[in-house]
Amino acid sequence: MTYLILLLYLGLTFFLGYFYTRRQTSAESFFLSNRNLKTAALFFTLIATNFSAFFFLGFAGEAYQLGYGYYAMMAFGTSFAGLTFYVIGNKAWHLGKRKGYMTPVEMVRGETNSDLLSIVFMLCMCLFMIPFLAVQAIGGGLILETMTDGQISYHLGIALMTVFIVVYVLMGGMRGIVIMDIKNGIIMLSLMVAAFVVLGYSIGGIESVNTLLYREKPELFDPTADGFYTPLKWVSFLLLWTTCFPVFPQIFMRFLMGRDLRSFKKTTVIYTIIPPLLFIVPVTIGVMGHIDFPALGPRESDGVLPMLLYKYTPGAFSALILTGALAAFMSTVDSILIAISSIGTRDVYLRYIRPEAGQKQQVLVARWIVVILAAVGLLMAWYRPGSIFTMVTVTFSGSALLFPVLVAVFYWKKVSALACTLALVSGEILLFSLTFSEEMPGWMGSALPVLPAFIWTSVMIVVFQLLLGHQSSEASSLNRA
Amino acid sequence: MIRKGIFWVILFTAFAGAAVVYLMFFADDRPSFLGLPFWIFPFMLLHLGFTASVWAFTKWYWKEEKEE
Repeated sequence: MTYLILLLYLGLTFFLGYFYTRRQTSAESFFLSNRNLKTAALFFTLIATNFSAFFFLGFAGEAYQLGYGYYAMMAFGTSFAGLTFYVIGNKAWHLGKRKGYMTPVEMVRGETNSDLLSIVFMLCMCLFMIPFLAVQAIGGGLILETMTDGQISYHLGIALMTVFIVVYVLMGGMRGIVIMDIKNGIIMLSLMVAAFVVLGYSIGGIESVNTLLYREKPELFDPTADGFYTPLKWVSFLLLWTTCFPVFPQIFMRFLMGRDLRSFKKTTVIYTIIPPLLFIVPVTIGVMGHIDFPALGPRESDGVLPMLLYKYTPGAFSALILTGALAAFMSTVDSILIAISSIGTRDVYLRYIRPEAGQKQQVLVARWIVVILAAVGLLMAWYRPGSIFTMVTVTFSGSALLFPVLVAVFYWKKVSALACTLALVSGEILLFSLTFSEEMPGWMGSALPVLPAFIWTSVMIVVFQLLLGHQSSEASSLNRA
Repeated sequence: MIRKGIFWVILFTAFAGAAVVYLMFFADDRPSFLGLPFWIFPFMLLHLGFTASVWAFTKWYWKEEKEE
């Protein structure tokens, strides 16, 4: 039954990819789905791209460790991103429509006339995404291994999933991915709610389980997660989630795909409602895991959702729910692949290697980049370096530092590209040195390294601008006039 | 632009500040509906307030942009 469910899901995905193969006529269609998405499509593609396999497995695992306090932090941070989506996306949509930009890097270069800033920006944006890509592959391999009870090994699982995703991305382009995202978004959200209802009922009622847990482990109900979330740490996480999501290339590309601004506006407002309503589901499941598995370590607790499913529900139902996790994983990976491949094609190949390349040639190069990227992600996932989860935390923080730069480029007409470049590079250096220092400096308190690095980058944009004068900003402001 | 920026910062600070103060100092842990901790529900209300503010923000932002 597990294999049947798996085959049905993969068959549907493959069919949709094949169906949209015939519709790839231009680079704009391959990268941006012709910029004609309405609210529902835009909303689902944004949700499916942003909610990765981590939403399915990681949320429950973290909630197992930190209790309901994890809900407070994640729901608020993710919801707040709706506001930054609007601030960045609104401007990006206008510029994209008016000047034909297809990638964030193209936009930064076009608006500042600076190759240096656009290259630094591109490196930060894309390189930080590769470990995230690898983590998604790791998630996919683990899901397959769990679903098939080890019959498909972890390594075979990541290889199969990578090949499968590459094939349908190559066929369908962004148009195919959007359709897949709508399908995956609906599957993912409805299956998560189904898991919540069925597990709650099978375990003996959510209310009675929670009441029992409150008597035995009251710290799980503490919103500070038993002192883990201090005010400084809370603000750090809030800032991190709010600012890193809109500068992820796969999210940023969604800003350019709306048919009109009204659709985009509605999407951002609806987006802010979803996290508080939905996140309670995996978090409650994770907390309920204490009833049957009272002493799981951090790595083991990532598997608390499948463990509860296989203990309390029939195998077919468990496989169905894990298909939802697979949907979440696939809809994030395909979007990262196409976003970075479009940046590689437009901002490297077309800009520096072959400026006269036609539409067909661009699509062909983009397809090759998808294959190469997927192979790099697969390689990282294959060897699973021990520090990969630390790398992901750092890469999220590194991405967040692009936010003040983007705001300056979009909204400060006179800002110089050099000031932005120096601020960004110095901010990244500060972030990495704080993250990898053996002991955090005392002045940081319990703040995450992203907080001082973010403040530093924002302030240094202003400082460098004042120091360098407006000479260097003349060229860039000309382009934005 | 400056007005929009100030409004955005106020919105962010007000809601983030309210959430931190409530969760750190005033939250009631006891189980309530579905056995979930009571603090979740005022927290959800705060979210709804945030959504309403974002809606108002986008409406105003959009109107201003059209006028420009």
